[in-house]
Amino acid sequence: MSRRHPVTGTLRKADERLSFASTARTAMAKVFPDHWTFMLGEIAFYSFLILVATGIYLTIFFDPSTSDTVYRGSYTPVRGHEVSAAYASTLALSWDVRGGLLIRQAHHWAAHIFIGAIVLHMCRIFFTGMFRKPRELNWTVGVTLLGLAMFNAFAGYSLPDDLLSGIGLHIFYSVALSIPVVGGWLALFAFGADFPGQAIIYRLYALHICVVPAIIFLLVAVHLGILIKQKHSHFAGPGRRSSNVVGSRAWPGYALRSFALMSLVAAVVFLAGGFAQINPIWEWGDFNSADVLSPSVADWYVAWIEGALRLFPPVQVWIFGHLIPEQFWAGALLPAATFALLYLWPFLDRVITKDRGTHHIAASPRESPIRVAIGVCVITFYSILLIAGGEELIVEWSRWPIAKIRLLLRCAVLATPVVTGAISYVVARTLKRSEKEGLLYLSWRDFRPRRSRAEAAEPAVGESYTGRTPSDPTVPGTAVPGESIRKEPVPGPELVLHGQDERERAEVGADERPLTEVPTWLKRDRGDSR
Amino acid sequence: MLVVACFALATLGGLAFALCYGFDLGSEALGASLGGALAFVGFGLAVWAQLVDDREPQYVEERAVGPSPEPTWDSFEEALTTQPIPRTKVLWGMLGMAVGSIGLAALFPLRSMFPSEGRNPQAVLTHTRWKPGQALITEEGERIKPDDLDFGSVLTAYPDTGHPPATIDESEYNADAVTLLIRVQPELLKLPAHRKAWVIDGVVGYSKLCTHAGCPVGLYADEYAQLLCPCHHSIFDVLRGAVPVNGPAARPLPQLPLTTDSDGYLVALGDFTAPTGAAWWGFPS
Amino acid sequence: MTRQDERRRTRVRSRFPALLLLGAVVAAAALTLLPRLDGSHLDPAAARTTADQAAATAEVRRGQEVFLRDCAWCHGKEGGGSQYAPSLKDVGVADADFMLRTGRMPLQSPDQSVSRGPASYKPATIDAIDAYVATFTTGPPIPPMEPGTDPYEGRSLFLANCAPCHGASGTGMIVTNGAFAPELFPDGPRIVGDAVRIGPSAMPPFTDKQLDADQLNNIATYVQQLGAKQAIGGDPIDQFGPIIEGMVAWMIPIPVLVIIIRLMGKRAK
Repeated sequence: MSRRHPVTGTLRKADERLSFASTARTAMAKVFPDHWTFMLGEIAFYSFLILVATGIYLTIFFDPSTSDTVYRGSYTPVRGHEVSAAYASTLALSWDVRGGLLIRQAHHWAAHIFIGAIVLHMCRIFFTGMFRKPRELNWTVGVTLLGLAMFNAFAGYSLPDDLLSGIGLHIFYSVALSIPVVGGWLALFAFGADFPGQAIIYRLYALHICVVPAIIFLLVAVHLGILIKQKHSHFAGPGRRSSNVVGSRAWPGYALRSFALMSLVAAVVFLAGGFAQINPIWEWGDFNSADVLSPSVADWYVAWIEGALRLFPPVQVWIFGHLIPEQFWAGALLPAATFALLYLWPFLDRVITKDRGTHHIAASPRESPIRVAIGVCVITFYSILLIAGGEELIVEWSRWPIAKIRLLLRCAVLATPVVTGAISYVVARTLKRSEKEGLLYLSWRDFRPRRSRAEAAEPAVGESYTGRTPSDPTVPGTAVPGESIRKEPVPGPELVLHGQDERERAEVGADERPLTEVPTWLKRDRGDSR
Repeated sequence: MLVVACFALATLGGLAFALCYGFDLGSEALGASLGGALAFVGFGLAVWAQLVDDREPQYVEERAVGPSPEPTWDSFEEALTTQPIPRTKVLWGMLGMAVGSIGLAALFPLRSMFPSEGRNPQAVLTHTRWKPGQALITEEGERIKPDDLDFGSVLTAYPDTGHPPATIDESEYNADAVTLLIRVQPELLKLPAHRKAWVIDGVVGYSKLCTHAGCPVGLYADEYAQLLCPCHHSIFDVLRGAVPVNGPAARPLPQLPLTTDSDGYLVALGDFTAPTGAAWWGFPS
Repeated sequence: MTRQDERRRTRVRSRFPALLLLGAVVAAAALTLLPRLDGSHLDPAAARTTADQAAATAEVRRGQEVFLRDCAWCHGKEGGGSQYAPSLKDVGVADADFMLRTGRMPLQSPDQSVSRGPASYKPATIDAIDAYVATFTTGPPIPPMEPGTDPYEGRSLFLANCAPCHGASGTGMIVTNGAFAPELFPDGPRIVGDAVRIGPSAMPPFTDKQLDADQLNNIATYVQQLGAKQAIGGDPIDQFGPIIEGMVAWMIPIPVLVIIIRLMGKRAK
């Protein structure tokens, strides 16, 4: 393009000052693998950007004060009467500010999509084993992001000081109280008074708009930075190794796709915000510590804790005259244990699967049936807790007494995860052994137990003779200083790895995309590869 | 082409949004126009990306696997740790101590987040503001007689502090004293004798805060004489002293001892029989 | 008989018709004028009261007719009750009105469950049955409902007293083992008033002292606003709260986005 073109002309002027052409060229050449599941994290990222954008708009109109003010807007039942300023400003946003309701609802729907996408992304990482070395740090950052997102969403819907979220804050207060030794201090510290106090909305506001988004921004930058440095993993396939990345280049292919996703996420958010009412605080009423309404539940990302609080039996433990009350186990211990398990998972996985190698090739879930089983078991467990958070709906459909439903759910939460875990283990293991392409290609014959040891001894594709996924043999040795050297024989380079060499041989010529055609400007020495 | 059409529609969508805003057509119209415009942009970009992808080969980029080579690491470690001055370990140690001390000191201002008075949780949580002889009032500030309730009725009552609760800034009025008055047939009550004395004409007073996690227990089914907490569905039997018969609550709702004054209005004899709301580490045994 | 006697007899005989006529006129005047002596001839409504009283008796008779045909086999001839159904002696007219208008009564058999449905009778017939029940029952009368004047009070009282069981949006909610507070959308003010005063089945009653007539009017008016009038910003999704919102999030926006990335991305080979 000539220098007279407006865009490139301006860029040239900028380049005279910043000299960025080389860096930009390298950036545009970055390769991104193409699988659709790799875009789940992007959904989360773009919904976060939308949250920030809509959130900034909301901060212009929202007043986080709990002092009473007279509402003078168009919602008739409250007009002319005193409610807290937080509630009044949210009412005004919904009924009086043009477009305010759209932005408010879009903000809330975007939060649902944000956390949902993080959960799906986390499941993808889990089932493809991409929390393994060298990505443990990124997994830790991701789990932290999940926790921060959940907290920020809880803080966000508590800001309007309505009755529904106020009840949730009371539960939060009581759960904080239940923590041994420090509980009372912690609750008074957080609320600045005996419940409800005047401070909590201010504090949640400061956290929700300032502190937590800043930390999330920082952690997302770290998350993406690590991703850029390590380069994205890719699934096994023709020409794919641990030592390369195969996919589309950043510009124009991947960038266009990414911007398309950003627009579509925004489109879904605003269509939802326009057509689906969410959190109608004018109906729930302003907060009053003596009032309550039904159903009294939190949003789904907190509702699993509510479900646990509903199902857990009334267990009180007295220790030398001090009490661990009944709301501690489900309200405080369970979430803490959940996040502890998530943080420790890379370490636990190493112990369970005995896989200490470096992995850049995303595993197919079937390659580790035990991991699939644990994942399905855990997902089932939390899903049933989530269902328990929606007991009111079950009662409305079934008209059974609540005691009966509680008993059923208690049995379900203990039994069902074991059952689904076992089933998924069997299915994953069968898929692995049968080498069929997918679930739909399985037949009942594949499930029959092995007849001979010879059959059993034959390694499935992708496995070494020891039954464990080896590290990439193209890299001479994966032992790093400090890591224990494996005693099993490391398979030599002539062993089939993921079947890719075989497939490569079979598919060369049939594959339309010639992998040998690497543009010269992409080739570089290993020394300065980024 | 398709992409051009999409972007044209998106442009119209943006215009439509502006018009909807100008004419105040409501949030559905705004959402539809903005969402539609963005959807067309997204769809156009997706088709464009697909067209590009169809004509592009797969690219390969090399990746560094494993740690940095030994010599590189050694030179990095050397550059980091060596300094021309001796005994840098002492200096780093002392610096660490100084930074740690300042860091810990910086946490002290957080103490102001505690309540300015009533800082001790034990004192705050164990008692409510009910005093012997304190009158019961409704939210409007009116005093209550037992006959104001029908058999099977419920009424929320507060301690009389001189201001009707409805007029007090909610955040200044702490929740733990709120009481639920229920009128039952006196002969159906199964309470110990000293507790029955606190029931006036079948009107019994319990704390409205659930002993599980503190939600107000607002649901009363007079046919079964049961209170249900909407948060985690604990069920309390009113006739037997609000003991939990099902659900995660472990302790009964504390009872408020009631009596009447000379005019027949309900007054409290003292504080509740136990701390109200959820329990904590220092709950009195 | 002398001619004087004859003339005397003739005089008495000729005055008798006049006396008879005078007596008839006086009697007619008495019959028509006496009820008006209280001044009611000046007031047309009072004139109607007599007609009303006649009609009222007719209404009670009509109500009794229906009651004896459809209700007495369970509730007894004068609402005394039987082994199938409770006595109606102290439930109040409001209870009967509520049960009939919400279609909960009459039942076809004693073991049929009591549930809401379309009313079995026309409103005029229900009024008739109410009139008959009023003759033998004591208890809350039908509250006279008028449009409320204070929407704020109606809303506040609704949230404080009704929302715990019926839901803040009136969608209906679980109460306790087996009981269920129904949704309030289809109920007109009279049904709301009836229910508040009698406290049907598991619902507690609210007396005049707890909620006076004005407050009850305000609450009933607010109930009419539930449902359609508060549904701004799109589909209210049953106004059930975060449970449904979470379900919608996982059933629509998130799957749509997953489908989008599936279409845009490529599968691993």
